[in-house]
Amino acid sequence: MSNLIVSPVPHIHSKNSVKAIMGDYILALIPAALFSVYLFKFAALKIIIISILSSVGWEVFFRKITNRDSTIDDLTAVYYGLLFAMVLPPTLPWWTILIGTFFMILLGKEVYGGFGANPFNGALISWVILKISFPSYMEKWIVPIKDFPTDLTPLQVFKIQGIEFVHNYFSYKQMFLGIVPGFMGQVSALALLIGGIYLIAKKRVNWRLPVSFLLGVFLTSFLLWALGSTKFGDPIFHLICGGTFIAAFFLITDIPSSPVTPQGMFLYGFLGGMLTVIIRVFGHWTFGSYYAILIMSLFTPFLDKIVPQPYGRY
Amino acid sequence: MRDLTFSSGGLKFDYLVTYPERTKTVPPKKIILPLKQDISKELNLVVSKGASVKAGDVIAEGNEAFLISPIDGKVIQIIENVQTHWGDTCRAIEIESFEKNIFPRDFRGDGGILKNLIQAGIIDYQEVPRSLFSKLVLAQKSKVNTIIINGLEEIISHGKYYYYLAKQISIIEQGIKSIKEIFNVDKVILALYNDYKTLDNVYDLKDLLDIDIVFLKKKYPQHHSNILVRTILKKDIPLGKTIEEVAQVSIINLETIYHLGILASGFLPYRDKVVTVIKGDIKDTELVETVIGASIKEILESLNVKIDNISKIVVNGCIGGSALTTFEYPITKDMTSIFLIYKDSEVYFEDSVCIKCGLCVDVCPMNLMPLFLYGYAQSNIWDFVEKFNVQSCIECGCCAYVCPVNIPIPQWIKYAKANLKNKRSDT
Ligand code: SF4
Ligand code: SF4
Repeated sequence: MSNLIVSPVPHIHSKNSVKAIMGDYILALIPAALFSVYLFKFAALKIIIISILSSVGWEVFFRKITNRDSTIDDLTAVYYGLLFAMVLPPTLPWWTILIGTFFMILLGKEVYGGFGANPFNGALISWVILKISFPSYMEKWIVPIKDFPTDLTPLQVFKIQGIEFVHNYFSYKQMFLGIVPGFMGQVSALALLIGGIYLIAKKRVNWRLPVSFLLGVFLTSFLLWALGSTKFGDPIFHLICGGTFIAAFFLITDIPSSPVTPQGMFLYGFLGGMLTVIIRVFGHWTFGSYYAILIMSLFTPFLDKIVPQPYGRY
Repeated sequence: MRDLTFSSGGLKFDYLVTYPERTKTVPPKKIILPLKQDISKELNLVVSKGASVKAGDVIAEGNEAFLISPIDGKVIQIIENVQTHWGDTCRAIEIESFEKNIFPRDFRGDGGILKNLIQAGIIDYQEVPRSLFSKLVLAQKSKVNTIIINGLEEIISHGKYYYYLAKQISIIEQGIKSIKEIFNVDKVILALYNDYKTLDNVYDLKDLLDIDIVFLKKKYPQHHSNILVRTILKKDIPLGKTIEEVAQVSIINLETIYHLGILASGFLPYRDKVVTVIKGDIKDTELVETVIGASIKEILESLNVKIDNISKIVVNGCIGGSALTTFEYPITKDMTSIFLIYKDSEVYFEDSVCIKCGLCVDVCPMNLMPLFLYGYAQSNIWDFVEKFNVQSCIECGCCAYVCPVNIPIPQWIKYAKANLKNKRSDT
């Protein structure tokens, strides 16, 4: 009656799973999602629902045609659907969302064989695809309150009109709370910060990534501000506007596309933050953080080579 | 002073460390004694089938640690090819007990402390079982001047070490005196989890015997000897070197100290055994007093455990430890705990796509890259497995414990090590 199982260590497991991780990520995005519904009302709700449903739908579709087991219960499609909605403008037509989620699931997951093998964050890839294919749709905003002085985002104002106008139109408080035009879930730094702190507290994201990213943004903008002139924007502005926080807690921390070693994470985050400010200040595009992170994920395989020194080796 | 811990990796656990409420004595009806109780050579049998033996009789001899019959009885067979739980094979002797004569305590060793050490068959267990005599030889060669007593059990909440210190303190005291004498060292450090701070006996020991006590945070695998030395002495042991050579220190288990204490009090050779039985849940434990050779099945039956529901038995750990192949396996000298895993809570590890979450890197106490070791081993790229220091892996299992997709990383590491070894012996 030797029917005992024999296997190597470990004999028990932490019960950690992709589903548990994604569950926490979804929870962490809820404040930002709720805030977008509060600010943009039904328009936001519609986009969130379409985005989540369609990304789950595409996943089922791809799994069916490639004849593989369904993975919808690991919640990755739900999370990426929600995350994608957070980087869209509240006015986007429904069919563009379908195109977006199609590419997100295809290029961010399925062509590589499943979640984890993808070198880039799917939500960012399809954001870029939409941005290039439908530039005008991707820049149509809803003003948060009546008689708002501008219908541009703070970063657009910064780019087109200059930093003085930013301070004319928006107060720091407004930008921090998110009472500004912009992408649905990125407007409120506060809501994202709450989610981010939750993720760090639950050890779902490694603190090195957000901290080094924010440090990169802060130090670079501080340097430019101190060296050059105020026209580059002050560090506080760069920290609380235009997706810095969504990038710090939800994009740079994307599991498959970020490095795994402590040193790699630090460099990845820091350089990502630096690049964000450089693109914002000197580049053609305004949404520096998204491009910066996509570019940085090209370097992930390289950064993963900077491994820690093992014990017992000299 | 702050409680010590090791710097990178590891798994924190927060079970309160104390001892089980229940203890039970289980006298065995028959016993099986593998002729390898440590990693040295198989012992030479000095009795044959059919012979009657008395408790205390030598039944097998060797250069480092004898095997002594724990009971009065009759040798009913010599079993070939018994697998030890650390992966060796050897013969074993089966002895049937004469009724009633269970725990006599009426014999003494003779001929000085060293000879007694060998005759009594004292074994020490760290990562593998070794005779205390062989550790002494190594210590003398390396001019060891310090002993660390490893009083850390794995992640067991109700273990027997606490019981030893709370209830058997005079034996432990004797044992520490003996180890100082045998190893001829002045400096002894007793390493305990910080939950022992509330135990007055610990401070009494410190004052009485002039030893140091260090309290450590509860983190797995703090009990591993390399990690213990790294934590307490801040010394890193290079691959292929022994702790004795590098740090002039010997690590001795508290269990061994207990047995030395029994020996020094004039009682028994290595015979009695206290084991912690963990019944599925880490907090549901019982202490069993028995003798070496008792079958695990018999012990479980006497605890009213339903063995049909058990899918796995792990000795000497819950996260780590080794899984047994059969219920018939006996208690050996190195065993400290028996962890039962029930069918409904068995975890399955299987190969799936690594999501690159990096958690395994985070928890690896040796600063390795478990995901790469797994990846390269799976694709048989041996140069890279080696380049990523597979040989430094202590097979603690932290990596697979946290892996969200349940990849059996240590299994791949074992596979890689075996392959590299084969390749080396080919060339
Ligand atoms: S089993 Fe090896 S690779 Fe995994 S955590 Fe332990 S030492 Fe690191
Ligand atoms: S913990 Fe598992 S999934 Fe995460 S990086 Fe390590 S091997 Fe990959």
